[in-house]
Amino acid sequence: MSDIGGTALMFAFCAAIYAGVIALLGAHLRRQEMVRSAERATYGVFGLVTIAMVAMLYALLTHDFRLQYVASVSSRAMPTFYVIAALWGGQEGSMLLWLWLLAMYSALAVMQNRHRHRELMPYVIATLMTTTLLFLTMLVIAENPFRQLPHVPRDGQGLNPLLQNPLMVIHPPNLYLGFVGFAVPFAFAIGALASGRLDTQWIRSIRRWTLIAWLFLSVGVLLGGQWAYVELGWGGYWAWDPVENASFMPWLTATAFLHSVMIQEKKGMLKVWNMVLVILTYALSIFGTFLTRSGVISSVHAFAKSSLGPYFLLYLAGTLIIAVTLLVKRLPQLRSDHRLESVVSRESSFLFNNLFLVGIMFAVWWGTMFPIISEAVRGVKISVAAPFFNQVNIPLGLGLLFLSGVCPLIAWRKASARNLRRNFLYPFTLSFVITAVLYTLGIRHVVALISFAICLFVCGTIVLEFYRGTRARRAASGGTVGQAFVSLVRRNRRRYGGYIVHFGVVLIFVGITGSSAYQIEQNVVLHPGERALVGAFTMQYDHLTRVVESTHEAFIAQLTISRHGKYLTTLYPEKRLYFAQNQPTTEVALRTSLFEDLYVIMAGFEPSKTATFKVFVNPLVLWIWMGGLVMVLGTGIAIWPERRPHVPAHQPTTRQVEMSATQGTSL
Amino acid sequence: MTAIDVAIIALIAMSLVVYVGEPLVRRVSSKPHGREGDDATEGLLLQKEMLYVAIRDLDFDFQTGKVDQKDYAELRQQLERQAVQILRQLDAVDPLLAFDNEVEHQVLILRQRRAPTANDTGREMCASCRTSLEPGANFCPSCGQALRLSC
Repeated sequence: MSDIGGTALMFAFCAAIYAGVIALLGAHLRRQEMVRSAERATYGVFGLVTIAMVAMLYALLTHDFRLQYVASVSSRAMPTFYVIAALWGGQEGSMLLWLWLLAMYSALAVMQNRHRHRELMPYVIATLMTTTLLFLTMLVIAENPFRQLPHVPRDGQGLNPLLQNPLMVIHPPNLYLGFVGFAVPFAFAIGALASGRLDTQWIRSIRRWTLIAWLFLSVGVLLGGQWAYVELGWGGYWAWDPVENASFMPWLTATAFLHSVMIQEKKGMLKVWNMVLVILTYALSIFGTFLTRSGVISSVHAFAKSSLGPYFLLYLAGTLIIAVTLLVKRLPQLRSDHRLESVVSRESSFLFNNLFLVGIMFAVWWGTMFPIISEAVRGVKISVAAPFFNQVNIPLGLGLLFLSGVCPLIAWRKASARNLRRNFLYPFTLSFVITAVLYTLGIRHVVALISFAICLFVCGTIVLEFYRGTRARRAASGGTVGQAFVSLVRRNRRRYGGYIVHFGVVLIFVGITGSSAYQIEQNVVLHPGERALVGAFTMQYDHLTRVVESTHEAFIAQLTISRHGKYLTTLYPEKRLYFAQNQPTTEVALRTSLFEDLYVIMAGFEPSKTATFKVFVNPLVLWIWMGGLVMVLGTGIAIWPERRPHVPAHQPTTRQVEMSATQGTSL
Repeated sequence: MTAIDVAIIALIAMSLVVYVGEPLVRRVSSKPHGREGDDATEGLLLQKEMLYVAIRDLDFDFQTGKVDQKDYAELRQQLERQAVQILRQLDAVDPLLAFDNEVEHQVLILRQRRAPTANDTGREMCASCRTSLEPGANFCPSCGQALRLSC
């Protein structure tokens, strides 16, 4: 079976080369059958990589330790759940998953457009296949997952214990779906540039793709944060770690694109800028993979160190050179159709939003790359820590949040001072009053107060938008408030889905603000039976027990938690020692509630059972995860297909128009 | 590698070659890989759609109180003028298409007016047969016309 997997990868390699070459040839010679053949080869690549995936899964499940990969990431004692997750627990396997997702996206994108964009598609196929080839080359030459060991070990080493967490099972596929997803918009951008079909049509085809990729990336980033929170045991969820940054950077540029693309659709402006954002997002995804995979930077994700760096850098350089050359060549055709009508308009507020997003991206990039640059230039590795990122990004982030409140209230094209006053009065008042209440309640942290004030303002504007929209709908078509509300959202899913996403972002900001401004951290040393007071919580250390499991041995402390004399819960922080890796890990004990998390880790213990606990009280962390869910909901609404398609841009037949006319009157 | 492995691999290779090569041999659609539609027309249609959306957005911004009456009138007139220009150009390129567009435009207007209208007594009446309606009715009791729009 493993031989079949390895051979399938080799075939996929050939098929990808063939698809790319024949697609370009077909475009050049204007031979449709060649492009068709290229399309089929694209499906073929997906089929072949799927065979390789199945072969790898089979090898893992049957504990085929002849394969080096299987022996290094799985063991007989591991639960089946984690044996499956081991497929992406190591370098080669995760590259294989990455490749498989890319092949799947490619096949889907090609299939979806098999009757459309005929001029673009050859270049789209060629671009997608080039990316596929990058991963295939690495898998076939450098990191073959089907490489066999000279001697078959009796058992495997098992998966890194830190990765044996349910979140880790879903976090990487999510993140990859995000990263890989940006290959499709990029391929269409290159297709548009290469074929010269630069109208707004291609942008529409990729809008949904970009949103889907963006959604997965958002969820992936948040899940990564949650994994770090519950697994790494340092009390937080985000540390500006290079690998976290690597996933955050394309998210920022993709977010910028999702906003500025609206201006191109509505006004035919910012065409070059949108191209740049698509290219940048893709380049940053590849760059992120490079950071994670090359071992250039030390990070919590130093699970994978390899010789893949040069491949990525070479590919990245090549891609950027080609993309920029094409862009420069097409500059004259990418001129804007219109100009801004007024400085105070939604268009211009979108421009500011883009500036902030890209500004944050550059700050993160600089902070991430500075250690490497300083090492290369001066020979000293200077690490850039969280304070730098916070100092730069907090003001930018808050500015961005403020804009997300301002934008919806400003009209497209033009807004007058009177309108602004009228529209901003309620949200500002709401924000001011509640912030004053928060101040009197004892919240004196300046940045936190500002952040909460902006969050309230944005909430106010979102509610106002829904309220006014519903009222306008009701005035136009009658019905109950509920009907008008549903009809409002249905008529413009993107706009109102977007507002819901903004609301999710507000929740995330509330959570970040609360947990960073008001975190309590305390170290306590306790003998069994002793108590300690942390914040409002009383923590009693009952006893320590030793448990031996199939993969590890655990020392579990029992803590009884009470507040104001009332019993709340019992927590069990653990220290584990995994046999296979001889690696100790710390299991966090967590009590989550809407207002605060009690987060306990056992830092160490002595033979006398005296234990040292590190205790954190993290306010409002739950809001971050809730915000994530709200973002998923909002994006879902925005992605959901419209019931009635837009007026077709291609020449509609009279019959079509007649049909829509009858539908229109009968509705 | 076992004999079965070899057989499976050979099978995969053969089916791949046949599947990928088939369009080349069959040459089904060897029609020239030409430009779909006319560039100029498509560009105009796109601009037209953009303008329609812009008009809709402007109306909505006005309804929700984001644009002043004066600005609204001015901007709307400006957009309408642009739309007329585009429609004229389309007319010049393809008269049939222009007719389609006119129909489409009328449909758009119709759709915007699909809401039930009120008669003199202030009660709602059916837009199709002008029967007086019960408040909140979803269909006309006389002709069955749907009254509430779900979208």
